[in-house]
Amino acid sequence: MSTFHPDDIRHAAAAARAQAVPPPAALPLPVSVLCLHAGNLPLVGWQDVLAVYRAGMRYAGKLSRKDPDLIPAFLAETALPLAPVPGFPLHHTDLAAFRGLRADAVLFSGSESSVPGVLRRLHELDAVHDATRFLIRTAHTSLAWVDRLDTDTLRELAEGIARYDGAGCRSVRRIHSPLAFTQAARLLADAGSPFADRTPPPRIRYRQAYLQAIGAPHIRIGTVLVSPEPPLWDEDGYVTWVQAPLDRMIADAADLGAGLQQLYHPGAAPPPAFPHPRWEPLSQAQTPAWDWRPDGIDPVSWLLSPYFPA
Amino acid sequence: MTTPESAFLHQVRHNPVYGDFVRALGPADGEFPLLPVEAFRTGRVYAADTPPELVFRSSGTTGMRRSEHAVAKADRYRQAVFAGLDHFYPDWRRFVVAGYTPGYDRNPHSSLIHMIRMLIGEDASGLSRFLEPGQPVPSDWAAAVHASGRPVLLFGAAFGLMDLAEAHPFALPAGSIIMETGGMKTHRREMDRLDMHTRLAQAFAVPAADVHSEYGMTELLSQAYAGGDGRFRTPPWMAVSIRDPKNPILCLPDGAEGLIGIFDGANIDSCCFLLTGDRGRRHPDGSFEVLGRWKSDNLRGCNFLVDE
Repeated sequence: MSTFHPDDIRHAAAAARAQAVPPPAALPLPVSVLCLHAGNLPLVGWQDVLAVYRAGMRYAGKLSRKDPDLIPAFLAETALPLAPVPGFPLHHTDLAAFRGLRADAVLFSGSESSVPGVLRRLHELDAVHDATRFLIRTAHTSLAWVDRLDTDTLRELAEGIARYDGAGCRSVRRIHSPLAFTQAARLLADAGSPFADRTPPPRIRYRQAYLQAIGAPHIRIGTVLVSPEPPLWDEDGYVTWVQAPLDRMIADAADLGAGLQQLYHPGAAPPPAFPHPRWEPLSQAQTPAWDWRPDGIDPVSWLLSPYFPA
Repeated sequence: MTTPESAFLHQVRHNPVYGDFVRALGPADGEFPLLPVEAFRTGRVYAADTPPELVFRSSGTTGMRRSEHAVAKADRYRQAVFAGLDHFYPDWRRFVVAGYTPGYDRNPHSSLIHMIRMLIGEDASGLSRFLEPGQPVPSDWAAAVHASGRPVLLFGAAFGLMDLAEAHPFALPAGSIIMETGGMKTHRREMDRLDMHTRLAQAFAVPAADVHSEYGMTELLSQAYAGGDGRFRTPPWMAVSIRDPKNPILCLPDGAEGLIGIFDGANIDSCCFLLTGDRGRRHPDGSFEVLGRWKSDNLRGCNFLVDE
């Protein structure tokens, strides 16, 4: 039983099928890559699988016990021709299954606090060796700029907020807008109607009861709460609406530093006053391209860099 | 004594915020709902018909709204403080009470400083007093305390006491107790509690077992105390539960880490049922440990758990 709503799984599978991935690189020697998949980020996990494929390397994946079937199902659906050598592709929910793997590279997305424990465990299991390279991505927050309330923007914003129940580093965590929350609340709630049948988990019900009790303005889109500043919590399932000029978004992005994942803009182009490499159309928030760069790093280039130095 | 059952019924009827919270939550299997303490930052959490006699405010930081606890009856706070000390430290009146904190005149809305002021007021000898933060302990006071033959009960925030220990260490009389009141994380350092207690014990010449801790907050009228073992114990009208961060209506079993929830029967005129943002662990004897603040990245989707 997946932790995801069935619609989210269908959405992720459709996005995976739609990706036209170029053929793999030709490597002079076999290279194995261990991907530590966070179960609640289906497309990010899938994107790492694609990176290993594109690099022409051998894929091993530690799957989340909460969602053990997602990646194997995507592999089956897309028939991705991963390196067909004995023992690979290898995926398992138990990290101990990778004992003795001695992977040449590890791809990992997670919180900074979890990194030391993960690294220690990998070494204990001999799943890595002394020269193993680690690509550790820890960015966690994506911001959306919303300066209009047209139908497309609202629909895309609701999708960016509520898809995957607001989990993951690509979900919209904070909305920056020159518009007041009160102007947008009703419209945004309506735009979130495709998610209306979702039952919020107890934590979100608890939070919403609290917001109601203190009389705080808020809306719920699917299982995600949205309320205006000040931010009350910093966790999945909660989004803050920041009413301020673009300068505030620029400052917040700078404050987030390495924690910033993406910036989303409505329409075709980002605001010219804020050039930044992490802008993406809001419409792509939950459908990253196969060559998306988590934490600003292209994993394919990173994997290949020792073998094809620039 | 106020039982949780009677307090719950009273507060649902008389505390609009808590009543609305319970009604919004709806019927749910589990324990009594605990109101997040943040509610004290957004408005008045109050269950009395009369104007408050005291208002406590948290210190807060820049850009952060301060908690405000309206206390209907000053005497109820007094009773909770004295009865709590009587419970854990029956001979506390034998001690000279010292507060290494800003004085009452500089922070009249701090519940901690109000409490220390009340304790100081109980000592007719005049030896009990506030000590000036950042300054060495006055030598004439230290001499008079030693001459009196009485031990000292020294209150202070953890970082303040560490500053005093490093800059102006001095020997407390035999039998003295150092009571740190939390605040181990500052802009300058973060320190393990055991390490800090060891250093305080050395600086003030007391056994490490006599460095104790107090767990209280602006939103509570009662306090829990920890002796040298670092485990907090509550007075009989207060109880701690560890709540599941993913579903705070549920209690976690003893030994599991979660959010510290508090029932404080003395809070009958504000809110008896509070959910803190502190991470803790309960033991089978009802004592509990405070393990720091709950980090919200534990509830973030990007977190990877080695779920073996």
